[in-house]
Amino acid sequence: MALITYLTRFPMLLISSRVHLPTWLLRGLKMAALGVFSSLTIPPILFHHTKLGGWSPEYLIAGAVALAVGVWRKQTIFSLGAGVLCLIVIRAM
Amino acid sequence: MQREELSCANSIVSLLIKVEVKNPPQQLSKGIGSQSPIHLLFYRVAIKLFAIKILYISILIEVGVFAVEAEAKGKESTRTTWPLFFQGAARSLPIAVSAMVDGMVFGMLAQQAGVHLWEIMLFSLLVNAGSSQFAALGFVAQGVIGWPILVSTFMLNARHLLYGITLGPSFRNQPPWKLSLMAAQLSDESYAILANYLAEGNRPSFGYFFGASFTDYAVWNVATLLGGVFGSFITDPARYGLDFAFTATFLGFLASQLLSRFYVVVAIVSGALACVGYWLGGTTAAVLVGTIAAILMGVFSREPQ
Repeated sequence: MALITYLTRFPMLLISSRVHLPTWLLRGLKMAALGVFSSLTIPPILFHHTKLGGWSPEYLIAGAVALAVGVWRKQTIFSLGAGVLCLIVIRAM
Repeated sequence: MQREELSCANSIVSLLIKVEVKNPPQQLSKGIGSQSPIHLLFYRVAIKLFAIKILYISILIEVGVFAVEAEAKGKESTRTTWPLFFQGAARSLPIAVSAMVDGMVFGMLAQQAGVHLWEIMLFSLLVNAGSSQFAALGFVAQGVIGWPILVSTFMLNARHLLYGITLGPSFRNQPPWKLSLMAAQLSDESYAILANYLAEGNRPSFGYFFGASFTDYAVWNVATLLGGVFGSFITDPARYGLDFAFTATFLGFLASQLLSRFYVVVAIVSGALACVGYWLGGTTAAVLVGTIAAILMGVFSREPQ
């Protein structure tokens, strides 16, 4: 399996070494990570159900906090800590 | 090529899986001797993710190296220089703190999901991409295995294309084996450090890059190990809010991508469309729809880049 992958790499490499990626594609790819991140975070937040059933805003609040902290400080560790802490606090109330 | 790859993965998936795993993470056995097919799949998925990642980055470094005109920026030495190695390592330590925590969280979450320790380590050692690993874990925990993970990783690592194409010209004179090694070590953090280094006007240096990236790599794997080993001591992840850890981490990544108002707009639109996808087809559809939407918005934007 890995061998197949390995073998399919080289033709691609040979071809692509002569190919420029078009500018419009580069522009699009810049946004790819952003798209993935928001697709992975926003739906779970908005569709969150607690174990007891029913929609709960706890993820929404904790998520907003995590995002704000992430914008304020660029390291993901702070978002992680803030979001998790916020959720603990909400659940303790 | 990718379609062959995906259908190959698909057939392997259907061969290996007889029973669909639908249990939420807390209920999956952390088994002693459990024969859940999830374990077989995990390391195969890891190998494929690794292959995809190497493929991506190698292609783009090659493209960058060959397709861009050679400016005489000064020949860099082809021998790794140790002082620069340690310089790079020192520079990456602040970022390593973040890697430490994220790695531990990953190890813990994977352990909670019932993945064996050796598989967790294999995953981190081979793939070495925080966001991709978390995404794959999210999929696995929901019982989604196989090609959706590959597709998601494909999209997620698209930015590595840009890393490769940006760094390629600086490393024109390097032998290919060094370049592929570099490809394995490339991650968001190591790319950021190297880009800053080059922007400050320093000559491109493999030593510096490997110093920075190896530190990051080592920390990430040690942290994953620690998380995996100690993860079993936390019996109720919900009490510590750890069920939100994955989402919170990714919100952090998302925040780091919001570089201008346009990026915020793209995030909102792709998030909204992803919700529609999520409602219709779960996480896989969400990622596909959201990412394609984001890419299209980028393609048709008139933003000065």
